Amino acid sequence: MSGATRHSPRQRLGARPRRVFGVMVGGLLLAVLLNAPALEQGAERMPYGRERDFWLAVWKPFAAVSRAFFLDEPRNLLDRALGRSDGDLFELPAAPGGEEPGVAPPATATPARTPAPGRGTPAATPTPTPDPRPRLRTPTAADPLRVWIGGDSMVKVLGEAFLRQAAETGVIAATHDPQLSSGLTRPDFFDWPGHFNQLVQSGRYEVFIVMFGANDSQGIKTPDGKIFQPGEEGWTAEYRRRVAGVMDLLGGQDRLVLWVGQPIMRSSEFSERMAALNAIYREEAAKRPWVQFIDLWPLFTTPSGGYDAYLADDDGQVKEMRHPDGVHLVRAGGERAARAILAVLKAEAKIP
Amino acid sequence: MMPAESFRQSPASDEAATMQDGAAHPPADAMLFPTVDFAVFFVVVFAIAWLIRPWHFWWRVFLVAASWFFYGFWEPKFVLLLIGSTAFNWAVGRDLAAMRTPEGLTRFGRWFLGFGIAANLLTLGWFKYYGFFVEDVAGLIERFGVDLPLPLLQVTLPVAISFFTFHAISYLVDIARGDCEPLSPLDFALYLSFFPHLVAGPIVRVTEFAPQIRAPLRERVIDAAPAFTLIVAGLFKKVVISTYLAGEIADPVFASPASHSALENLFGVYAYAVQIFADFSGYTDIAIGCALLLGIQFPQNFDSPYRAWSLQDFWRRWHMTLSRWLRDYLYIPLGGNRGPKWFVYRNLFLTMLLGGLWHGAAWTFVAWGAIHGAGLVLEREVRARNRWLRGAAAKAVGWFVTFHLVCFAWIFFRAETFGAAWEVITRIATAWGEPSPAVTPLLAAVIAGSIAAQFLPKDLFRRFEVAYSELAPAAQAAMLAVALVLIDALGPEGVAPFIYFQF
Repeated sequence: MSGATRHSPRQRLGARPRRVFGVMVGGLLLAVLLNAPALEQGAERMPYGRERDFWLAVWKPFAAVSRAFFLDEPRNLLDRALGRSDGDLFELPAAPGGEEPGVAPPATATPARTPAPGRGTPAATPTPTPDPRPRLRTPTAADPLRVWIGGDSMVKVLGEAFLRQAAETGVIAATHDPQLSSGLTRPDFFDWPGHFNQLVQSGRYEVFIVMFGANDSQGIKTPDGKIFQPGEEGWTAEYRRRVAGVMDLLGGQDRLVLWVGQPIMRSSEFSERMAALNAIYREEAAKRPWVQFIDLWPLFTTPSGGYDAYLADDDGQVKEMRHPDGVHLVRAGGERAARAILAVLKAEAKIP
Repeated sequence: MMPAESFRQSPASDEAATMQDGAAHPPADAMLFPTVDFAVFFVVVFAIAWLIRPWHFWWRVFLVAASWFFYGFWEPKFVLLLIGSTAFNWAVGRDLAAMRTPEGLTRFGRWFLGFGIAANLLTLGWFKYYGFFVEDVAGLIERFGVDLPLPLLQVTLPVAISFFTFHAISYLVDIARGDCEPLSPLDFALYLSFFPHLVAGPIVRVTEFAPQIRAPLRERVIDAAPAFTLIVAGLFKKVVISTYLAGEIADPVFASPASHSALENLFGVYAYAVQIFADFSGYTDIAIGCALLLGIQFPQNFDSPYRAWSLQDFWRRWHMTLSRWLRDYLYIPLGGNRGPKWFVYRNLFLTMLLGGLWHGAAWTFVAWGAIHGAGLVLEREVRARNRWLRGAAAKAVGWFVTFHLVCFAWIFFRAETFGAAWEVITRIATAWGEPSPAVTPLLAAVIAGSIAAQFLPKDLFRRFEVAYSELAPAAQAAMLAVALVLIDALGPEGVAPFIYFQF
């Protein structure tokens, strides 16, 4: 009996195509009106460009009508009931020294106790100066080192591998928090500063392992509303300000930040962009004793320095390391990168 | 995320690049059913298709063009592969028909059929199994001292190739068996590439499909209520249930079993069982509903599989169009039920083993097929010896055992490696007493509710459809709109792609 054939012609619930078309288009239009603000928000989060402009132009009139007649209220009520916020734009914490080489007075949020400000405004919180160099305690099985690993989808496979390897040590409790499609260029898509602020305020983590960049070569909006494209000077300055801000936000109270760089990519143009981002991470990390930059690049190049999806692993076997998209890591690649990160962490925390 | 080239897409939809398991690499840019793109596409196709329906020839031309556009939306160059497969199989089918005699195919005809099938399988093999062969099989052969100098290539697996290859093979075999006559090039192109079934089935037979597109239009009537019900239910399963369970527990548990307790691992497996059902049956429900709106009936693909009380029963309810394909084009040619008992068991086991490999190029899929094959053989053997295995109590025990055997096999289907599968199993066996924060009452309720829903009487849906069809159009539209908004609100931001895309 079939989902289709069980409705045999003799008892079919027939309707004329014109009527069905009316129901379909009417239903979709009404759905769009009820949902227009959500659709508009979705479009706003797209990368700056023609496609985003197109969809914004499509949804804006609907959203206006929807708001005028309060048609968006049911959806808003539903979102509130589900505990979802609308993810507004907000400023990165001020990082006064972030752009000046050599000076990096960290603007760290106050640890623990203070209630998390939700969609917070970390800039407003006062800032104790962290020790120049964090002293990680040597963890035990009873009191394991509390590690957070997160970032964009590059951290998905890598973080899974890290969790497996960390579990094997028996003295590291790792939390995995990849936010797909996210990055530092678009806090309106995923609010990393706000999220980091909450994590820091919770006082739960002693080590932050962070990886960004693969989604970041897109337009960026400065606080004064200007949009810069990658390669422009304004872009680099704004991106550097954000990286510095996040590094400062995460520092403090003997916390260690391991900032993981991007590996080589298949597309040479994309590789160049990633190398430029790596340079920013490396330079900003060098200014801050609590941040260590971990360079994945040489782990994923051929002996001649080029890209290959298949590489010899540490055990000498040639394995597929990269996803066919030429960007992401697959399991063996994730394991390899995780080993490198874990080695640094073990040295810092004196884990045998 | 999907960095680099695909920035033209919304970041949310870029999840397609990574939210996937095992060997399948779903595409980032495919036109997924639950997207605005597809809704717009479908409304336009619907309107034009019914406007030109009286011009039978142009109606078919239009549907072929729409299907190719749908396919090309993902990767234009692979439309050529689809067209190539269409042309090749159409020509082979036409020639095969000429080689039929009242006693069956001529000797040359049998060779020719073999050639046609082999060409299809080789194409599938190149795209789907090359990497697996080079990395795993060649490695095995090398251990015996034979060095295979094969280049390591990353071959992009075209969406839907497994499905259109199966359609093509069934067409050739049906012609060879005399079950159907060759189609015209246009009808065959429509059969192979009709967009509702193109990407992930159901696997429709030519004898089911051809009469529907050949028949002149009798009355312009659409089974709208069942179609809308299927589409909305499918969207709910795919967008809400499947993504919730994947994100909440199935993905984290399978990513790192050691970081989760026994209870979490156990619920991770249950959650995956429901997730893959909701995902796959949801997608085919949408496909069946869309086809119905265009006036084409597809066969049912799922029939409440988790109410099965035996493995045999399960396979009559799970991915039904694949089960019957495997039965008719693999099990029966292998010898089927004819012959001594152990011969039949061998056929059963081999069929499931190959069915497993079809799902993905990895040994874990082979293991999944082997578990089902061995389970089916064992079940037959036990039932042949124990006539008392009837009655309600036996059925209840049968249900419990069947469900858990199916879940056990899913561990291998989902895990990336044998090591990971084994870790899930050992954690379930040993890690009791640890805290299980991931197992929440809501999660347990969603899993239990999804399984319990499979025991609901079918009549309930039918009554809903009748009531819906009697409503005024405005009320129907309003209900549709409310359902869509609810699904969008309950669903996550950005839907993980369909697991079965590239199987």
